[in-house]
Amino acid sequence: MRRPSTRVGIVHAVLAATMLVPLALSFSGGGSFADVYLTTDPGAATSRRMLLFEALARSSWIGLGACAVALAFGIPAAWLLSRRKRTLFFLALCALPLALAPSVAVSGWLEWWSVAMRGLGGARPELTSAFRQMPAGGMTGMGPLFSIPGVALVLGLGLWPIVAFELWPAFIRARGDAYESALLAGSPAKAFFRVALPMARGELAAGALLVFLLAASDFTVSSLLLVRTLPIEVHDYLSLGKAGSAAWAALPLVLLIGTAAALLSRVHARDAQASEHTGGAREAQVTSGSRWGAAILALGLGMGFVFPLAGCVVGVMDSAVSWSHAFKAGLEPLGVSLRLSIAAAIVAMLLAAARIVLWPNMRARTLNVAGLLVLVVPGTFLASGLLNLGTGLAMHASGPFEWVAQAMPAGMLMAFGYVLRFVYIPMRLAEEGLRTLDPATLETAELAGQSGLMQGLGVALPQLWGHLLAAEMLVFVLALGDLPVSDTLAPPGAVPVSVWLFQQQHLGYTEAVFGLSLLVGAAAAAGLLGSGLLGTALRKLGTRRWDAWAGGGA
Amino acid sequence: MSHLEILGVAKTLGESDRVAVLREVTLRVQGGQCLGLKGATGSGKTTLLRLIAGLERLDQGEIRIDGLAVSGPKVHIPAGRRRVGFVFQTLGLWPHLSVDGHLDYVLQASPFRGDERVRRKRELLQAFHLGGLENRRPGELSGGERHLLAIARALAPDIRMLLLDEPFAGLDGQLRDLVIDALGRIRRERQLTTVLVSHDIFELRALSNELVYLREGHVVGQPSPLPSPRGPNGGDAPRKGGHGA
Repeated sequence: MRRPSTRVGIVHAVLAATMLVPLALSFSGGGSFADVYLTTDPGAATSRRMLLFEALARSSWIGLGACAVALAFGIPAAWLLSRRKRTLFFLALCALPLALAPSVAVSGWLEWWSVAMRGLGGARPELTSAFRQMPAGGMTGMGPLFSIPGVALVLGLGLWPIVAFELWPAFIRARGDAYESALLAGSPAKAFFRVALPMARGELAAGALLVFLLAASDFTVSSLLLVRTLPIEVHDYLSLGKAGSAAWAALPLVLLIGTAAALLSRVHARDAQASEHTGGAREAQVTSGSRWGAAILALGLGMGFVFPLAGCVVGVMDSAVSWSHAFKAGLEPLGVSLRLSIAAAIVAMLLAAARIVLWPNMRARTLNVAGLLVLVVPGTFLASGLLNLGTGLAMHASGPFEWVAQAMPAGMLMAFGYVLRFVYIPMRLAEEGLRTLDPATLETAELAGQSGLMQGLGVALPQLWGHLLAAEMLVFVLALGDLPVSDTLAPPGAVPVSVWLFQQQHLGYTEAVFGLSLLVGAAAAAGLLGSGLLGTALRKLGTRRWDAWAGGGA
Repeated sequence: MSHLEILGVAKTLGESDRVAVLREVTLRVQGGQCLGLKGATGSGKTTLLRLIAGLERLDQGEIRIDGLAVSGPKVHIPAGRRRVGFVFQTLGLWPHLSVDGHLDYVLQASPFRGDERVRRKRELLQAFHLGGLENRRPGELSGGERHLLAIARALAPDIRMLLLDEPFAGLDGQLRDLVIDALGRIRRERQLTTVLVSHDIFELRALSNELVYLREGHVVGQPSPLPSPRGPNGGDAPRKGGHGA
């Protein structure tokens, strides 16, 4: 892929700057740098800075722990993915742990912990009072789940598909002649560790870093498992109406994330350049030696999806109330969230398509870095900026533009928040897809006199249907489970399901919590797997029509 | 008949570690003639073809077609406006399009319309033994058939120059003779100026009028004239599957 031309580079820079506007705006709310880091009382300021530093340290430990768990499952899963024929359905299956909303995973794990403590049918321990006072270092005497390792485990088990999806294309490239030459000279394990893994070290680092960033900026799991991390400090400032203070409190994490995002972008750029010289990948075949990979993939799916969801089933079955009662509560919030998540997913798919069609043979590093930054900063930080933006627009919309503010449907800001927060996913998937295309396919179209737009529409887009659907699927499930954006930007009178669930979880783990957790998990899984099936069917149908289209009616 | 001039062309590649791929290359190809390019891997053959096609910008020098500068320090005519056909080493076929779809797609941007377009398509399908395979996609074709499709696709639009980057690699002897024969005939009929990159002296002799060696980005010596090329059915046929040194 080529470097963008000056004109396209300027367009990318403007778009990237627009994506970052809400982050800059979040500093303009109530509160200031001095509120967070300096006060007239030097002792209080020091202790506040110490509190933030400790929270940052906890966030970093959680990031590292989640990273270790994600690597343990993600590497074998990626190896298996590179060794067998991949269908959209199979990929969707592997993404299931990522689809499980963090609050749902916590419900499931807590129920298993509760069952382990009391046995099936026993009385649930009273968590309600404990939740109302969150101690700084996590709960002691409430089991290992309420600790930094517990949070890291829950997050790592949900985020390992990121490592698998980052690594898998690199393993496909590595699995060519270089790996086979190594196989001739030693055992498969030696060939894997000495050749395949080092060849994929860039992607390995990228996957690990992305998991670290997402886990370090997590709010939901650490809040539910009572570990006070920096995103919780940020959220607390926001709850007090001090959006500016929240932004300043998040600054250390944002700087850490910004540095890591720049590093990640460099890793991707280097990998992109390297992969352009390694040629095409071979068609995957199911080969021997993948049993270990299959076993670990199954374990990852079990621990990251099936086990927590089964915990929710146990929670519902173990309650004295009827099933209809357990499932009825929270149905309305689920409807709200489904509508907004579907809207965000469709917009994400259109964005991916636009990226492919507009710049099929160019990299878009600036857009990717901006998207990554928006994804990994604490969600509340982004949401408060968007809230400032929305409020400002509503206040200043007057004269001929007044109708715009009035015509904006309720929840539009929230859907926009989802799209912006997860825009990195369609951008990245589109770029990954374009990287896999043989450049000669686009160049031949260029030589035939087709414009850049027609190259994108006629050559690139039809080959990248799978990537578009993957973007749609992932944004749907992530938006469904998102808490920070939903909590801050929910329109008046509408409660998104993640917010409803989170509020109920803080009041106690009742059958309604488990029932709704189960519904949210099932909806995400159905969306993901259904899209996988639909995508496969659409791709088959669609390719029959490309010929007629390519001929221009000839 | 287009006359090609490559005048003192230099090109470096790579973003951080820049490598000089071509240094002061000067070549001339008369209209309707075929220039054979031979050289070791990394000698700059493919880069030279890409510069002629307009897929890369040169650092220094000038490329002229029919006396008109198409690439130079201050000029770069886009690839799509040069009327150049290119057969890539990797072929670059479109996996989602059938044989028919490939030809239709490139003909869409050409001046051919209606019956003329249909006739041109039929001719190419026949010349390259693709008749009956119109509805197949690249994944449903054999390796040889894919090569044939790539060549037919390059020849389909109204081109004035043909660039071939090892177009016969992977073809067996008999099929290669057939393709060389068809290609030679179409080249002669349309008087297409051609640049052929190959490692195989048999292929170069079968199609080229002149042969040039590239080494580390330099032209070695003077272009060597070759006897008038004749395809397998043009009288003095090359040996089937033969590999003359």
